[in-house]
Amino acid sequence: MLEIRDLRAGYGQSMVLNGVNLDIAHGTVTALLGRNGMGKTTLCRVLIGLLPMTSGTITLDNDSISHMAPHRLARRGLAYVPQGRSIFARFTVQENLDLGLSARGGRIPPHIFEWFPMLAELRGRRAGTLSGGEQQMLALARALVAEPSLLILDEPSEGLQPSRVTAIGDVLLRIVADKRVTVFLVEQNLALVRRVAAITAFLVDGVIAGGAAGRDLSPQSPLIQRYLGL
Amino acid sequence: MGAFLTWAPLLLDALSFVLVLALVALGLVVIFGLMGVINLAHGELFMLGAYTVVLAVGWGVPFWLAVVLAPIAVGAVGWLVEVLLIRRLAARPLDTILATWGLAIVLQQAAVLAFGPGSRSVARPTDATVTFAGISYPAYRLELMAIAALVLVATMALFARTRVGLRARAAIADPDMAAALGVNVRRVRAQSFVLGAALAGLAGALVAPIISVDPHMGFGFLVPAFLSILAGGGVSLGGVLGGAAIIGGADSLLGHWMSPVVSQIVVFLIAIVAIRLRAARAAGS
Ligand SMILES: Nc1ncnc2c1ncn2[C@@H]1O[C@H](COP(=O)(O)OP(=O)(O)OP(=O)(O)O)[C@@H](O)[C@H]1O
Ligand SMILES: [Mg+2]
Repeated sequence: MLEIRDLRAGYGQSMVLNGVNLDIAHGTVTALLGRNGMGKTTLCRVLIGLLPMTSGTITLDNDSISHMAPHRLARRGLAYVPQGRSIFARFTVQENLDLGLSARGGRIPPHIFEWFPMLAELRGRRAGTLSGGEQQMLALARALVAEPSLLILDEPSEGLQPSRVTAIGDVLLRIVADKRVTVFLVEQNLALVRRVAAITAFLVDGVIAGGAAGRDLSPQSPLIQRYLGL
Repeated sequence: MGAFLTWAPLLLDALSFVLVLALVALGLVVIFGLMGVINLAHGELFMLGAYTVVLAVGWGVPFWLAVVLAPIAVGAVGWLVEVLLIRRLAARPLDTILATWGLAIVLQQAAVLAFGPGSRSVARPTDATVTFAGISYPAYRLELMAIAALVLVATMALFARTRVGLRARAAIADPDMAAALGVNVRRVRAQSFVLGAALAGLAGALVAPIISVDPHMGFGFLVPAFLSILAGGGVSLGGVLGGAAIIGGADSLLGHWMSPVVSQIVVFLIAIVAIRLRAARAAGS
């Protein structure tokens, strides 16, 4: 569904991504693991159009989307849950969800509140007053309101207690099963990746250094030892 | 009773000035909030609104139609300015300030060339007065106040209650995230400039019959508009009204028993006190 070829990008003179090649297959969860500062967030920002790439190509369903503006990519079906969530803290939960409709208009699909029952009760609350776990659910729900075809998640489990991480895993498994959303999941949480990802790639020094089927990843596997230094 | 009879018209005059000032200031705030642009040509957009009415009425257009045309015409000018000037200077705030300052001078000179340096006037649509509780007051000023209040409320409702307004607020709060959600941030910014310009144009159109219209009239409104924003606390829409009430109210009322120069100085002092009070409160909370 998404093909990344020889992608290079960085900030000013310093290159962060040095030729990334990655395929994300339709209807799967593809995970990306990598140590801090390897460029995972940089890759996400390039994919969603917030950071211009220096060279390379990105193709979505055989169309080049290499230099598309973010709002156009959103309308093409990409949705993004950034690291740190970036919810609109001073807006209500409802307003945050409504913003998810910017890409396609219409109404909030009813299944959103099936997937995130707690958000139904929190609609009138200011998003900034939600707990970290609730904010992460809101960020995820806001992305799904757009009914995207490709969901890009940057470390959704960061800073959450294990039960919340499990809840995120439940939602991911469910949306992939129900709606055939494709998910690109950047994570450091190995347990979450093993549970949901069909394929896992490793980002090391700005290139994809290897890949594995998700369920083969045990903490003892040589890939993990080598690329994450656990 | 006697005091009421003398004071009521003065207070109404002050209120009409406050409402017009709030329209001008609100336009500035919309442009600053969404674009980060301090538009020093805002007073000239106001001036263009007034001249639009003078010209249109001169051509035989009914007054109220001219009042509707003015914000459209000035909004169109705003759109051109955004496309030709502001957009090219995006993310260079200092250059934008200089550019809008230059634009202000150009527009003033253009007005001098087109309409002459002297002042023009336009007849009020009605000379009727409304008599209430023993005071009679020009009907046009009451109409002006009603329209200004209505447009202020409508603009605030646009931002607070509609989807378009929600997207604009999102573009202010976090432009990257808004864009990633599908908001065309650049277009929202251009629209905000047009809206801000149109508000200035409407304000100019509304006051055209009650003040003298000349190429330099904009500056007289730009300064109190900026002071209103500062006194009212920056970019909140509600603060604009409060700031305009303080600055416009003082300006208008003090002028009745002080020389213009002294009253201007007092207005500045009031503005400084209001700004400092706000700063102290912000630091305390
Ligand atoms: N805005 C920026 N300007 C300059 N350098 C940046 C910027 N953002 C990130 N970098 C640098 O780019 C490199 C990759 O950062 P990135 O955030 O993509 O890493 P990451 O893999 O997401 O890390 P983490 O796991 O900590 O989130 C780092 O060296 C970082 O310092
Ligand atoms: Mg990161």
